[in-house]
Amino acid sequence: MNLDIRWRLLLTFALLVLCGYLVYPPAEKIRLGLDLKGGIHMVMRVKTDDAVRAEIDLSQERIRSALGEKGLAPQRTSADGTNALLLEGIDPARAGEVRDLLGRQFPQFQASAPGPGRLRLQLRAADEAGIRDSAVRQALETIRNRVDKFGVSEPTIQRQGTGARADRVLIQLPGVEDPERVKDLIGSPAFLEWKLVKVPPGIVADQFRAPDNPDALSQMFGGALPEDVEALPQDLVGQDDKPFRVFWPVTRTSPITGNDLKNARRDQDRFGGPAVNFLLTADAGRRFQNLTRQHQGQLLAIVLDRKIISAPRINAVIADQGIIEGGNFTLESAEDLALKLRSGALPAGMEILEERTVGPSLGADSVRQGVVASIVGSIIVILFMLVYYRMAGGNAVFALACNILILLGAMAYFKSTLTLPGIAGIALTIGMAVDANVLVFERMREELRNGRTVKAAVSAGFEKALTTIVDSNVTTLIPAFFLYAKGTGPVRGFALTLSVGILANLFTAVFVSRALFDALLTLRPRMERLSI
Amino acid sequence: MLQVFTHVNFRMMYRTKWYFMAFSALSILVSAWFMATRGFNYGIDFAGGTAVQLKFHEAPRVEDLRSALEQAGLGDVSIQKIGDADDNEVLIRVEQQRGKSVPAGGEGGEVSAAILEALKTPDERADARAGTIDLNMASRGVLQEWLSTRLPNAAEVAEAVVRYRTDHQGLLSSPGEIASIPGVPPEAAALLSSQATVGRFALRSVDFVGPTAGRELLQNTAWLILLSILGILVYVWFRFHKWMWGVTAIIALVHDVFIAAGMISLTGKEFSLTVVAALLAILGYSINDTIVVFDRIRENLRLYREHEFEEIVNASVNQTLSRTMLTSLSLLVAIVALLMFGGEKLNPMSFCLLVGVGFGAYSSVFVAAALLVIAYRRLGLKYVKA
Repeated sequence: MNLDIRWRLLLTFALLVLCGYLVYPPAEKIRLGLDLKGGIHMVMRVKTDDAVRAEIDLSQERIRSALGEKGLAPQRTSADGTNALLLEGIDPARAGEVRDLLGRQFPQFQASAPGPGRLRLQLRAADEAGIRDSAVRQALETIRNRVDKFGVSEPTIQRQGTGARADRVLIQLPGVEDPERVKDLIGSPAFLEWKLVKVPPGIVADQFRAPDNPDALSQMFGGALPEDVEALPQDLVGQDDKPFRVFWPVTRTSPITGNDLKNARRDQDRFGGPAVNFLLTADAGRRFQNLTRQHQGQLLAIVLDRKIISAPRINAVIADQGIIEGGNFTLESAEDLALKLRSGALPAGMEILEERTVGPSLGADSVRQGVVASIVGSIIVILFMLVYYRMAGGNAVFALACNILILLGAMAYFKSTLTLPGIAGIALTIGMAVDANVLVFERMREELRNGRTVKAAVSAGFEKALTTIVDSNVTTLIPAFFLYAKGTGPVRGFALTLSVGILANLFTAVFVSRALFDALLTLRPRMERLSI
Repeated sequence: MLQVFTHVNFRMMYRTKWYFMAFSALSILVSAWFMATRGFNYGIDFAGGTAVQLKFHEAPRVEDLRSALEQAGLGDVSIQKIGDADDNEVLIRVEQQRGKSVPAGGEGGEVSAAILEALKTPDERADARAGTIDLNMASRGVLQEWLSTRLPNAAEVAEAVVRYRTDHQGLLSSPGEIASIPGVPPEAAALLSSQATVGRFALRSVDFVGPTAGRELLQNTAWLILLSILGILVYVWFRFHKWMWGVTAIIALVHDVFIAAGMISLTGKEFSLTVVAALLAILGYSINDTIVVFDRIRENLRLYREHEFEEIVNASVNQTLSRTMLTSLSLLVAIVALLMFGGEKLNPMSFCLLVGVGFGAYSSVFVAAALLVIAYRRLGLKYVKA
């Protein structure tokens, strides 16, 4: 028994030293959540419909040309919903041939005939799921890339959700303060295209003024835009600071896109204003050279995410290097665009489902308030225990201190995140820390009243209270466990401190307090009165 | 020896229990009535929408803020002062408008940008165009970039300004303050005082929750509470070998959580995710008290087989009374400290815990134990030795 106690005391002491070592200094060892440290938490959804639609658009082109080669071209092809194509005006006599060819070359489509001369091609479910999945993975990769280049320390970027919610991405950026900039940086697809401007017939490129509505543009072409031309908007700011929008006629095809970029960086235009300098791959450089040679004097539109940044005149042959200017760039936006271009385009648009930004000053205030509340709570509980249980109360106070130390030590060791509700969990742990001691002490008092010796009372107190302590703590753990398993964000931090606090409480009550009492009894085996 | 209840033997499990049953029934009715008629003041966690917390250095006039936001077409805006009066903090909330398109600024998370833009004065807008920088709004990165074209040691100056700002609740109050910031050399201070501005407010936090996220959370919450209750039921049933014990314990739990939720509804405090966490914690603490009482009843049933069931329950409740009081008191002390010093964000949570833990202690005796007595009497159940 003697040795036993020494070992128990030693073990307790070692554990406390270990926890102290793990925690000290707390400012470095305890990981703070975004709500305490400041930063941005976002849940975004990848609009995978975009990717499916893009795949349909691409297939539409390929199907048309494959059928055209065999003289089977339908009169009209169009997208039908997000994941299907409609072919109309197929020669009914050769419909079988069309279906054979499509079945061989485009097995990802399931064909059905809703009417004579019509064919509906539906993307097979497995292929569609594959496209959506790869869009999310690619988006994740691109976002990671952008965040890395932006320079955020310890970012969290991960896929979240399963099944129908597998399109979610969780992004946590500690220490980042400007949500607007980050949202733009992460959420905009940054798909860059160069398109030739097709000025209306009878107008010289230099004299063309883009009109402020698409109808006026169509009128210039005599009522309708040619098949291979589309109208894209450009947002401008007038002399009076009022924003306005104009529409440019540009080619549907894009000879050069962002995929052809080798590098991009912030630069200056001729007037020293911010601009973006780009470098193309060797192959794209040759194509750019041909393009600019053939179309000298014409306008070349630079299009970002379907909006025109600028449409400068091609004055000279350009090879693999150039500059994007005139987009109302600020230092920041030019820097950010260059960064996005370097990290690649997103395969689909992003939608923000949830955003939480906490400024660093608010986080610091929260920590302060939480610490004050915990300390005030502790002091009152300690005084209360000392007054009520006197010397035995000292034991309870020691247990409380152990509890908090073990709780913080465990948090530091497992690199768990402390959140604002987590601090509330610690405060509750302080309130609850004495619970097991109270159970034991009340039992001891009963035993003493029943005339037991101190030694017998101590032993009976611990033994009889044990099942109650285990039962009551296990049941308290049940909701905390579910909250941790299914909860989200800061609330999980609450479940965590609560659960770890309960476990620490169990340990100190049945092990540490018992060891202290036994040690006392070993020192003074003939003790007749217990200060309790 | 300081003692609260040593030799007490309150006759709680006899006729008196009916008074408490009536009190509980009344509390539940009141809670139900408030929840049904008033509902909850859902925070944006659940309701969706945008909330922006701003700190001003002079007390803002709510009417001015409101008219500025209305002019910007932000629709239904709620503006609420939070914290102490001299904190000068406001919380601006724009509800999710179902069916309607999101106001100015288009999609989802852009409402916060629209709010900040709308609150700028014409002077501030002109300043921003002229290339000055607002020291209360600029992040470290932006400040550093702005300084880098004007000063050699941009990084250190930006760092010093941001650190000072963080220590002063995110807010500089006048351009004159810049010179007193430690770590900012005189030439940088001169540059900042002449070319930078100090805006009227600083951004403390932004929360945006989309409509789908809110709905999912609400479902998730219901599941959490249900699963926890089920888990506890199974454990109590298993440990006490009697389903009736599990059922009465659960009734006591639901009673506590229901009343705590009712009080949240009654006071109109924000129903947020942390309140859900509090409701679950109440489940945990309330069952803790109940288990202590039940354990004692079980033990006494074995010791005094010849006694009447009521008598045993009454004795057990009395024996555990001081423990129930002490533990609850110590827990309530911690919660009151949290309520008083824990800050605005934890207020609804702490309040909910206060009500729940208080009722939890009460219900372990007057609901769980009393119902056990009633059940055994009325249903004629027998306690068979486990």
